Amino acid sequence: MPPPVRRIQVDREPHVAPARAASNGAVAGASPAAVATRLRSARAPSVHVRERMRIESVWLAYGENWVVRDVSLPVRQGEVLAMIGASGSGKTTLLRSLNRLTEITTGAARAGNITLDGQDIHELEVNELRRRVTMVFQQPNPFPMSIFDNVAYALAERPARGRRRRRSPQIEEAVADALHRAGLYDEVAGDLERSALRLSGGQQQRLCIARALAAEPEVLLLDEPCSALDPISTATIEELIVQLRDSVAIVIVTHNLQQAFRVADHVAFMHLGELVEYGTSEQVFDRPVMERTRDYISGAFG
Amino acid sequence: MRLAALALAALALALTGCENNQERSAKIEKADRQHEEEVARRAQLAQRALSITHPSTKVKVLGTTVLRGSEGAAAVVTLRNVSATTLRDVPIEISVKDAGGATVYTNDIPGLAAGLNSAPLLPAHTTSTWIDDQVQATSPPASVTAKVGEGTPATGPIPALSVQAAHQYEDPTNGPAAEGSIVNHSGVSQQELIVYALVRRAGAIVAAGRAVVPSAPTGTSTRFQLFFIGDPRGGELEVQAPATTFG
Repeated sequence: MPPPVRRIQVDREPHVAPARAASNGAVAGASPAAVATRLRSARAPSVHVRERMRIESVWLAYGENWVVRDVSLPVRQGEVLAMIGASGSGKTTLLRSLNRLTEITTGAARAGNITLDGQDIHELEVNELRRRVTMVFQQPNPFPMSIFDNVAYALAERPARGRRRRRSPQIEEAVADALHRAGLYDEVAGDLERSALRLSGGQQQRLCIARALAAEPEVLLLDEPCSALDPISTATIEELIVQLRDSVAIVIVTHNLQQAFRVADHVAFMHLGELVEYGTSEQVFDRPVMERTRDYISGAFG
Repeated sequence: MRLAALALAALALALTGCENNQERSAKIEKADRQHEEEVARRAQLAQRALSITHPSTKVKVLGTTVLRGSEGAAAVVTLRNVSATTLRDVPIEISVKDAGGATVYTNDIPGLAAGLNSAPLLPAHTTSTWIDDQVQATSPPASVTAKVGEGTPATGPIPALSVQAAHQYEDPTNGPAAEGSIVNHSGVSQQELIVYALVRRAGAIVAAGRAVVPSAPTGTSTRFQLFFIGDPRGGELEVQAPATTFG
């Protein structure tokens, strides 16, 4: 029997806020500090806030160990939700449970409910779920093929083994749209047949985001997406994350507290599997309620 | 009195096996230095265009496989170190050919990622798998030949690593994938660790992939994630993670 834990009440109603400032446009080449300042100062809450997922009293275990304990959270389109916490806090496990990646681990167990647009994610066919709730990983993982084919991979139509992908106008439009949304189109439009492996690390990560977006997901999960990138690429991706939140719900796991502050609308601080504090980015970082949050943010542990 | 108290505290610390800040700093510094050295060593290896003039007499190529899928192409080479010496950084040169016998990809160009033209470790009297999952063929590949060069003899014990809870899964946007954990049982933190995974169905290799784990600290379990080329469905997964960093 799991030990009793403190429940954190989350808002039942989506928060609708004033109009957001205009998009900042591409930032390739801008200094990280300048982007950080712009990100925080130019941002206003999105007008497109809509709950897409709900995590309700979720417990997750590997074997005998409960690694996530009674967590409830909303995941909303129009917002970036950052999950922070020390290693072993359960944030990555919770993120992976949103598209059922945790269940493939032997001995994994789950209690509680996770819904996507009101439907239990365990009632959905797993590939359909992973198309609607897509994941971008720490390390960029482009396929050894062209930029075009990398993005087109996520579209439903796949070529037969060894055959070239059919380039219908619809597919070309979908690929271009995904590259635009990922902020990469202008940099690669001249040669979509170029090998994706020739792109820089930051471009490869944006390509992976484009591939994820090509599936037209409702939720985008980012598992420390900048941990392998330089500061300039990180700044570019952070601005992209903020821009994308209008059209897709974004959940990011990061160890970088400054990054969480820059990109997140809401922050969930986890410690030893518990959700210690959840609130707006400003509240959690500037006026944390819980002592453990204050300690973590001030660098006392983690 | 104060000295005695300090000595007592130090003794207590030593007896409980606790680490003080100084020790922790030294450990982190050592791991950072090893990481930098390993990255520099690999960068240096990658800068060089591969050219094998004297094929190894210690390592035999047991088999080669080319895989094609909607994720691209990969080459798999099965090697056996027939000698009594464990070898590090063993150069591997591959030539991928199409059905007509024309060469469509070679890995002898400088600047390839770590491990795409060498095997990090071939233990003595052991069969190992080496995978290049970044074959960018100019036309559909059909076969691959491999030439193996002389590696560097390894000195000292091989750091013990194990693979745990490796399993496959489907991801419609990222392709077929596998994940698991590498447990570093040794006292040497591993840097730029390459994880090789292949899937066999009825004995035939049907999918392969690799991942680079930036760091696997000593005494810990580090998660890896890799994406396959080929169709791993219904096959049996094999994962290897040879040590890259020696003490």
